[in-house]
Amino acid sequence: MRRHRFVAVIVLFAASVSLPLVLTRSFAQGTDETATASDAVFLKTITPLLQQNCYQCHGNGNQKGGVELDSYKTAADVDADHERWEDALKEIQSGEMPPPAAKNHPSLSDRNTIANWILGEIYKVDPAHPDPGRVTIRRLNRDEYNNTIRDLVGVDFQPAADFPSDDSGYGFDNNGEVLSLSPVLMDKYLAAATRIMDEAIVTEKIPSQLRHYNANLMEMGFNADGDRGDGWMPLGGLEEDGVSETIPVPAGDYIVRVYTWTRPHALPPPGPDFFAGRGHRAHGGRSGAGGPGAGRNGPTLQNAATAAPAIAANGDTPPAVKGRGEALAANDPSLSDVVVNDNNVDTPPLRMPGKSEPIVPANLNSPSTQPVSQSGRNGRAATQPSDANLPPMKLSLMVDGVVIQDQVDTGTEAKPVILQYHVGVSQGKHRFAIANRRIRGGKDELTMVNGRIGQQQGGTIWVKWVEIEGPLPGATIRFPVNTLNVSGDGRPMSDGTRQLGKDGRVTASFTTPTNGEYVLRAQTYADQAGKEPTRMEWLINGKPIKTFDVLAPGHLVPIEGQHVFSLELLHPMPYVYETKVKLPAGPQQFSVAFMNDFSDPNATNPNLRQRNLYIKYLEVENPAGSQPLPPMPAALAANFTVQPTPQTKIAAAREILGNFAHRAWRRPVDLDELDSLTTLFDRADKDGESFEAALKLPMKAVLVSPYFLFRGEIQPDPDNAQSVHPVSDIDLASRLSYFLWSSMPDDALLNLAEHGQLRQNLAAQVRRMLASPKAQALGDNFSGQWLQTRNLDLVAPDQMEFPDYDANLREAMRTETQMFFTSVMRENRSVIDFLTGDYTFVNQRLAEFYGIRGVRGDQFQRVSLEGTHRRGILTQASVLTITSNPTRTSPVKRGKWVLENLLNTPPPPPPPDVPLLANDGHPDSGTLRQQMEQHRANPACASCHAQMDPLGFGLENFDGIGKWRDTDGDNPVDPSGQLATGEKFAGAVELENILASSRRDQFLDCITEKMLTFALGRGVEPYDRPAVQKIIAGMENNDLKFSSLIMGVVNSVPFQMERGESAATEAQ
Amino acid sequence: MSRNWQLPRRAFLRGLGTAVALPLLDAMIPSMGSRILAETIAGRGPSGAAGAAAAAASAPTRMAFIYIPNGVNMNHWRPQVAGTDYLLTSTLEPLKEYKSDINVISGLANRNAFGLGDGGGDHARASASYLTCAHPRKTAGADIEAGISVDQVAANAIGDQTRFPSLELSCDKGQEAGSCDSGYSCAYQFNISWRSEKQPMNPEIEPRSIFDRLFGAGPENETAEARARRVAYDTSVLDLVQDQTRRLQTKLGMTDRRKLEEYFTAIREVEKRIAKNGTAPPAVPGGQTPDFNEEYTFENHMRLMFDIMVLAFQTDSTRVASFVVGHDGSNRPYPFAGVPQGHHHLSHHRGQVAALANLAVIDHFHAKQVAYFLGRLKSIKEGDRTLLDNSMIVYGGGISDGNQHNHDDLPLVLAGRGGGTIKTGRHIVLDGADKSPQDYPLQGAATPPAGETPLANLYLSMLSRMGVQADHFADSTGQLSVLA
Repeated sequence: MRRHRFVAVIVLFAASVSLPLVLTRSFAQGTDETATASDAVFLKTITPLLQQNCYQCHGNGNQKGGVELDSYKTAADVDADHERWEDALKEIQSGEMPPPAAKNHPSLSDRNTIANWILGEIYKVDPAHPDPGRVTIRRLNRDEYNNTIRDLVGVDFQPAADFPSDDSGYGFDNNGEVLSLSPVLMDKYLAAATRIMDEAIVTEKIPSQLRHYNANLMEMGFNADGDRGDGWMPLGGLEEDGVSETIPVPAGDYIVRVYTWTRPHALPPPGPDFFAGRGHRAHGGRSGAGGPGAGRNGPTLQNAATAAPAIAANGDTPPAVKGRGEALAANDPSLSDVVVNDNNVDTPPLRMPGKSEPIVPANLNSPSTQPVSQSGRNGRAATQPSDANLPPMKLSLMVDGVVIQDQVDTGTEAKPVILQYHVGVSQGKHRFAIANRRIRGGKDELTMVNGRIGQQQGGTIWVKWVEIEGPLPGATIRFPVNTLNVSGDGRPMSDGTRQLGKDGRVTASFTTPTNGEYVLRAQTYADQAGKEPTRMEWLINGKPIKTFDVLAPGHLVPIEGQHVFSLELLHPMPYVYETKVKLPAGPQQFSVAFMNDFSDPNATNPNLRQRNLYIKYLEVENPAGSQPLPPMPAALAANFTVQPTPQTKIAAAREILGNFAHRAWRRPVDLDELDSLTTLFDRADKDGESFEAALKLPMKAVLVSPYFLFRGEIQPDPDNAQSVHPVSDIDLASRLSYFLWSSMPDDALLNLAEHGQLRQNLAAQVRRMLASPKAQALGDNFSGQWLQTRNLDLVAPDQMEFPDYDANLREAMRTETQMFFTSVMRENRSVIDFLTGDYTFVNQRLAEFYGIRGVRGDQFQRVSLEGTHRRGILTQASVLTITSNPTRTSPVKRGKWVLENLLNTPPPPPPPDVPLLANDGHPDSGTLRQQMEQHRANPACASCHAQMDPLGFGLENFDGIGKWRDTDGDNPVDPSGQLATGEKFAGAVELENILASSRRDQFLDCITEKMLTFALGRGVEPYDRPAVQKIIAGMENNDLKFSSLIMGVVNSVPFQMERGESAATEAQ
Repeated sequence: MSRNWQLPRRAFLRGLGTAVALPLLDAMIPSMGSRILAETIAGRGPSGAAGAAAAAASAPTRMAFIYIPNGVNMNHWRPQVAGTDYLLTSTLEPLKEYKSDINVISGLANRNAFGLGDGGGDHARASASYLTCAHPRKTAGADIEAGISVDQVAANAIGDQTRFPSLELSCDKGQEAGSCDSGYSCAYQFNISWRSEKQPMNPEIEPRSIFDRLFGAGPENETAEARARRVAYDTSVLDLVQDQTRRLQTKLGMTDRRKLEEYFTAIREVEKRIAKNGTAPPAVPGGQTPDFNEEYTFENHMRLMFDIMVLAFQTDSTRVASFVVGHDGSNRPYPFAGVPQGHHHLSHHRGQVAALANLAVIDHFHAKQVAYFLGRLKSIKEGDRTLLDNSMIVYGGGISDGNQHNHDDLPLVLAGRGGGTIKTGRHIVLDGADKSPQDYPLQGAATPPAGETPLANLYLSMLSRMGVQADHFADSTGQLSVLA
């Protein structure tokens, strides 16, 4: 019972208390004086508050529940009765007391005053003998697992994506006490380890080969328009809009994959000229037989290019195709287990039906986030909002004009899918076509109603690329640019390309299986400047083999006052270049270098000022042979420090496994451990596996080992709470790397730790780590949870109420807050900028949403907020959206968010049994503000809502998704208000200024506790108070710079030290 | 739906002169059923009819829990009269086809979900105590503790008879950021299944991934030899890490040892499963792989979860499942059902007609999905019964009225006949006959109001039907004799 209470008290403390004056004093002064000072505060401040709010039941002779608070005359009396006052603390903090029926209710600040004082009396903290607390062994959470695998093995496919969610404690999902490990998760760890090693070490030749076609470079249908500028081809409602490829192939089973998305929209009902229009097109040459009205049951959709029997649109299938499908299924026993997926097949496939799997690409470059509305030609799609009631859109694979399969296209612009079709074909030249056949979903077949067409598939299907995989001659391997080695100037672009500057060069490594002729390809585009065209050079193993002029245009900007470029030329127009080269068998390097960097800042045409080369991918095709093995990722390859011979392979394996386990377990590996790993290698080796394949088995064991999955710190005397000591250098390295990178220590960090030199180089290491791109994890994981912008994935603003809101806007909101946080971190700005920073980051979409002019394109750029209504994080759309209800703003949620995440004073939960208000049971009337004010008429609610609501009302100029508004419905918004502490404000910017000035200390306390919680993976406890104060003092001496917060946390006692535990301590 | 390959088998069975309906054989449990099938076809052992009877007699009892958040509009949920002559209310109307297969149970209370002096946090408590009937310790992280949940009690007792002791499913991702309900760790709000007092079972969200775990047969075209090697390799990996864990345990302190024990137990469980999986996992009955290809909608998500539960039960891959439709406190809007407002927001209806009407729409939507589940269960024959007959499906939530956050008079439907042990077709209104208030074991609990029957009594009754011998479960005061 007693233990139970203790825990509750700690929680409340950690979650809520700002700098208590009383505590500060007690640290600084001797025991006797403390008692005196405490008495003074008790009598002057605390007793009157108790008198006013508690004595009605617990004083003046009243002893409700056996509690008589006026029997405690001095601070010493309080100190002598911990149990009673811990209870009191809990009741006050939780809002349980005073009960709703009580006459008086203390304000939130009065509650905090009482609570802080009790804390100071009950939990005296001795700064001379600090208690560093104890961190429970922590399993890697999903982000940490993904990042660690990325850094350790070099595969970056988010293997933890299908792990169960991690629970969080104290607001963060890296809390050792809360993270649990279920059998399900163990299953996943085992499966992930297998998949990771299979991905990293490919030891078998991939049996089939792949041809990759960019949709904009395929044969286009009669009616197709070309891509919209970023490679996405729109397929309209006629098969003539399709893309196709006609190639000679051997007989066999093929997989066709299409990268695609769609947005259904209602078509206007076809007018009387609909069939005339089709007839005209048919006459134009592509639709032959089966004109309008052909078929047995109404109109048909005609197959392109051939005179194959028409497919009746109601789902009846032409006898030829049907017969073929059935014959195969019935007569071929090997197909008896083929699953017929009849939910998704309008027409029976030719063969191998139904294995339809949309794959959400893990590692593909996301498509342009450019909203369709900015692309002139696609305005129609944008102006017609999607309609959830429409049948799903389907995309068809046709071979030689025969429909093989229709599949529901579940992709969206934000999240395209890969649709996969299976088809068996005979040897010969075949035309593989991808078409939007304008069919309908499910039961709503195309029917004639009074001579008019019923519901039909409307809208455009977008296709970016098509892959054909099967026993094709030749083999192709493609290297997306982010997997390549790079040198020289350059930077990654948001469209997945890399911009190359001076001496910029990218290199792909691969192994050619045989001596022969290979095809090299690269997809590139370029910005032009000066007199020469942009030029690239291709090299094999460092030797130049060919030079290209790259004329494919890059990002062009409109010239003010002119309309020279159509809008879609805002997008780059990449093009694939290729050449053939003879290569011997063996390892090869294919490099593409930018030759002629140039800039002319004064060129009158802004499109001719910079010369840049952009690379999307490199590709190598072996026209004769099978696919070359993909290279081992560099991170894993780094462990292969020795070449095995048949005689030395055990020793070599041992060395390689030692290297790998050392990194994976983030500590030196002992000989016993190495023996057992080597035994696994030996076993696989004896089974006849190749050297690399046999290594996979022990490497899997390394990845499911508790030493990999958990971050444990071995203590000399773990069950003794009195045993206080510094964490070992090696454990400190992991503490640092998981704090700043959410990943494993790199070699440099671990090396310093193992040589006992980490502590003397701590500041330099922290600087280096913060400067690393990996520190983005701090931005994503800390800020995403502190500011709760991760919850953008969970909120669902109502589409009717907020038609502006879509996936693109949501991602732009998220990116803005991440970039803003990161800018404070990387530029080492004052943490006060989180509240009042007068700049932010927007792309065109978000800029237009905010009403900021002059921002073009998808890329985010820094803009000043001068002249806007926004400052800092509180007015960013992400925060405003996650604190709203789906259909409207919620001043209460916004107020609560500020109290919790900026001021560290979360309000107590609403008291139970709130009596109904006068207006309950009747429809609300008046403005939201008037309704809320009615709600506050109840005194039991008022004391806390008086804290929350004004903060929320100050933000009422921003609607439920953070868009500026002057009116709410018909009523003008009144964003003015007064805080319970008296400060007046006229709107959001003034409110933020108040937070940054008169509430500054609370904010510093809040961000420090949050950062410490994240860094430690445990809640902040009363005994951490001195550490928090010391961190803040350090920040004050460094202009509150972000790095001083991080350094303060890193140097703090709880981060640097640890202690054991004992049953006595935990139960206290 | 033409599966021509079925025809020969049906013809073959007719040829043997059995009167057995084909679906029974399809539905038989793999361990026993396939053996019977083999013997039947080979003409050895039990005759076809006897074999079928054996299968029917041995058909196990299953239990599942479907959790809906935020309470319901009780006016549209609770039938007016008790007994068999009641009318289904508008919310439960989608279940009308199964009226004779279900009991609506009114009057159960989960006393431990109340504050009992811990203040706010009714959503966290509602979830954490729903299947545990324990009072969760109020903490934002350090030392979380609830109780062992009823599904896990069953899984501990009978889980080793199936490939998976239990399934935990959810349509809700965990909280992405921020703290959860009023000082409670998010672990309380997103998990209803607890393996131990301290270890919640995180549910799985992705239908495809769950399906693959249940029925995935490893790499395509894997030979038996390759499969055996893979299993042996996995086993050797697990052996090695178990050894490491034992060594590591000796160096750790108390709490860390407990955490590592979770790992150790998980390893052993996976090891057992790998041993059971030495042969390929059961074929998906009828080849009916759910269509994971459909567009994401909440309805599809729920239905896929139901499909998977049906398949798991049908193949006897597990007999215990729990499914969180939404975590308590979920503010999910239901625009697809015509309710664009957030669920939690609406549940604080303050007696307003519009809000209550919208809540009823959400409740009706849930009931419709549950009806789909019951329909699937009922369509599967097991001897002369159905899978639904052999199941106990609890559909309900941990809060009665969202505006009051009360945890008594809980909305609850118990579907299925528990293998013939439950009389169905009734609205059961509990009057406390099953309860002995003087035995109430709670610390600090107010004396329960007269006439209150603990929710745990239902669970105790279900456990006994699962073959779990227990005198009590959590705060139970006895079995619900009224069920039989």
